Amino acid sequence: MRIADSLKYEIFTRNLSKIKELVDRTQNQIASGKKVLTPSDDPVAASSGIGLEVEKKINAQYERTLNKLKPLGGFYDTAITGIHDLLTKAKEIAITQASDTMDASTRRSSAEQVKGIIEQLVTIGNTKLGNTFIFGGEKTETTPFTLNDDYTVTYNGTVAVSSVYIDRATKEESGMSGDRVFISDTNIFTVLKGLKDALETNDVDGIKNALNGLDASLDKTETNLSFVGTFVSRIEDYTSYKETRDLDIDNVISSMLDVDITQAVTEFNALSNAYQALLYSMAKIQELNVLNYLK
Amino acid sequence: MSISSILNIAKNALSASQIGMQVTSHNISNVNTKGYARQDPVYEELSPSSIGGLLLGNGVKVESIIRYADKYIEKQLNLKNNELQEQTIYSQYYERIEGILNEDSNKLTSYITDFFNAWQELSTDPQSTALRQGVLASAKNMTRTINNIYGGLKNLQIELNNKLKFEIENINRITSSIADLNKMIFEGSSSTSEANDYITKRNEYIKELSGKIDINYFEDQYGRVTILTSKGKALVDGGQSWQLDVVDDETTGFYKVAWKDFSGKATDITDSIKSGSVYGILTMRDGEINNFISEMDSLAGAIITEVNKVHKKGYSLNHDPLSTEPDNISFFKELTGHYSKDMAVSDEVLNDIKNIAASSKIDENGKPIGNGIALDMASIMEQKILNGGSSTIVEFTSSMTNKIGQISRAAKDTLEYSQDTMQIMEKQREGISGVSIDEEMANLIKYQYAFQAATRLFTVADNLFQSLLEAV
Repeated sequence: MRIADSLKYEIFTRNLSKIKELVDRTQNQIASGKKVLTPSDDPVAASSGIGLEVEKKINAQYERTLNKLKPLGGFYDTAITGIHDLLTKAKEIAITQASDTMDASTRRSSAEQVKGIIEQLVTIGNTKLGNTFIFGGEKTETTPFTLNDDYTVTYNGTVAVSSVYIDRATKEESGMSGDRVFISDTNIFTVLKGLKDALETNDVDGIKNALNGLDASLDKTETNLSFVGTFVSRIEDYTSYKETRDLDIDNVISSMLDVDITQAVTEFNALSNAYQALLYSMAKIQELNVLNYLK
Repeated sequence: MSISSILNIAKNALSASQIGMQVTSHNISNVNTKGYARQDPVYEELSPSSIGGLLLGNGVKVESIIRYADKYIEKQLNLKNNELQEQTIYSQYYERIEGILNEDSNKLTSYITDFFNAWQELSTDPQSTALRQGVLASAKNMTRTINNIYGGLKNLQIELNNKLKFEIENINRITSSIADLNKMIFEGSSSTSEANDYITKRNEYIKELSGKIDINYFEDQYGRVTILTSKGKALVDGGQSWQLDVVDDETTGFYKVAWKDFSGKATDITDSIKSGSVYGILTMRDGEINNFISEMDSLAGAIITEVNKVHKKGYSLNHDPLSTEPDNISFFKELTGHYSKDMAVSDEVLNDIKNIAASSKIDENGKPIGNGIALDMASIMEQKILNGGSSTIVEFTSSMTNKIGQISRAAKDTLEYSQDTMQIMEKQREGISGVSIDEEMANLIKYQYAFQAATRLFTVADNLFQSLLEAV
């Protein structure tokens, strides 16, 4: 076959540009640390990459939500422990004042103590975290409990509590409503009001009745305490699950989209060799020219 | 038989060698000329004269100068070029679309996620204005990105439309040049060397034209070429050429291709163009880019519809306490089409972030409570709201990335294949028509020696004359 000169050079330049393109690509991969620079490099990896990046972002959002729930857990714990202490104190008063050795005057002064307990419980019920009343249920901006003149207490919040997503399709209630802690099943405020009234009126049977109510209140509060405990540990579990998941996603993304530096550098060297070999062969072919012998 | 006939033969031989050297130098100087076909002189003996019953040779003449070319290969090469130029358009523009749709650069899915995450964030503190600011900012980022992608794709369409006009102008330039060359070939067919160069030039034009549209062509007995579009509209016939033109299509606002007869009446031939770069431009402009624009419209449309549907059921911070009805505020501007082009946050929300609703309920005082709307918004990200209820947003954008990746890759591969086969054909063509310097140098030496030998004939004849003169 005849080999025409211009073609010889053209093929040479074409091959040269092909190799240069590959060298350039490998160089970009090394510089960016990425194997997939455009979707067409690996369409499947690039499109899965999008899904995984989103997964990572959503995960990060869940983590932020969980981090907001964490201090909330602490607040509930302190508040409910406080309730428990106050109820225990009320129970001690009731037991003491139910005894026959006590008289109307000691009972009247104890009634003042019970009033104090009710006031402190209202304060606890109106605990705020930032701008949020933690016992208001969904009404986070309304003061949940108001103490009336007759020492009855009105609950202004809702029964339900707002939920937030802490994972795909998994919602967690952001805490407990005042209704659950103070009102439902056994209304702590009604029990204490009963105790206060019985003490004021020197009604021993009434005091004994209140004792039953206090026991039920303490039971309920203990249940709530353990609920807070599991709430906090659940948040912790989810948080650490998210952290592991983050790492997993990073690993998958990295193995799919990141360049293996050793491999890339080896490839780069191989290509540089090919590039040099091409230039060398061209120089050699150049010598095989009749003009070199016509002197 | 006379001594002077020796001089005559020597004279002919000299000019024959000179022609040989001239053709060789013409070949050498065109070693890098695209489409050049090497030429060779064809030598022939001059008819002998009968002297004393003997037929004596009269030397040499150059009968013609031939052009080494294989019409079959040239035709194949033109067909291949037709394919190559079309593939070049695809590869080039798919790469551009890929650049526009590349998540790495536009961050589309990332911004969409940010938007729904912002609602997630708002759900943790549904009355907060700071978090509403976050929702608005992320919505603006998202709409801006979607608008930009639309703009990028639309600009490509406009660019292709301008390119179409440019290509049609090129076609007109080429066909009128071919017609001119036809005339010159017809007139110059007596002097072969000249005609050869015109033919080479014309072949290059035909190759270039083949790269642009699908054509049929054939030569008449005078070597003039007639060129028709593949559907039979004449482009060149002898010394005449017909013009193509672009006409506005009222419905799309883009150009159509028209063929003009001599009266200047234009016939739309857009649909009859089936290959070449013009076809590539048309397909790209009217097909694929529109497909991606309509994908972006589906995406934007679905987000607008779903977000507004949820948002309208919500109670905003500006809720009128006397009303129990939801505020019915659109979060995004309500659109009826061109979703990706015009997608924007509604004026109500843009002017007052308190119009963002996060709650699905109100309390007895008419105050919004809870985070129902924020949660419903966040969950849109997980819902299958696209492709007729079969894909989530992320599935949709990932599959769009996958699609453009695959198409662009396939286009690159096809282009590479076309280039490779083109290279093989060119190698074959050059094997026949290409200039080899080595070969030409050998020829040059050959003609040089022939020339030198012929000059010796003069010396010999001269000596003979001298001897005769001295004898007198």
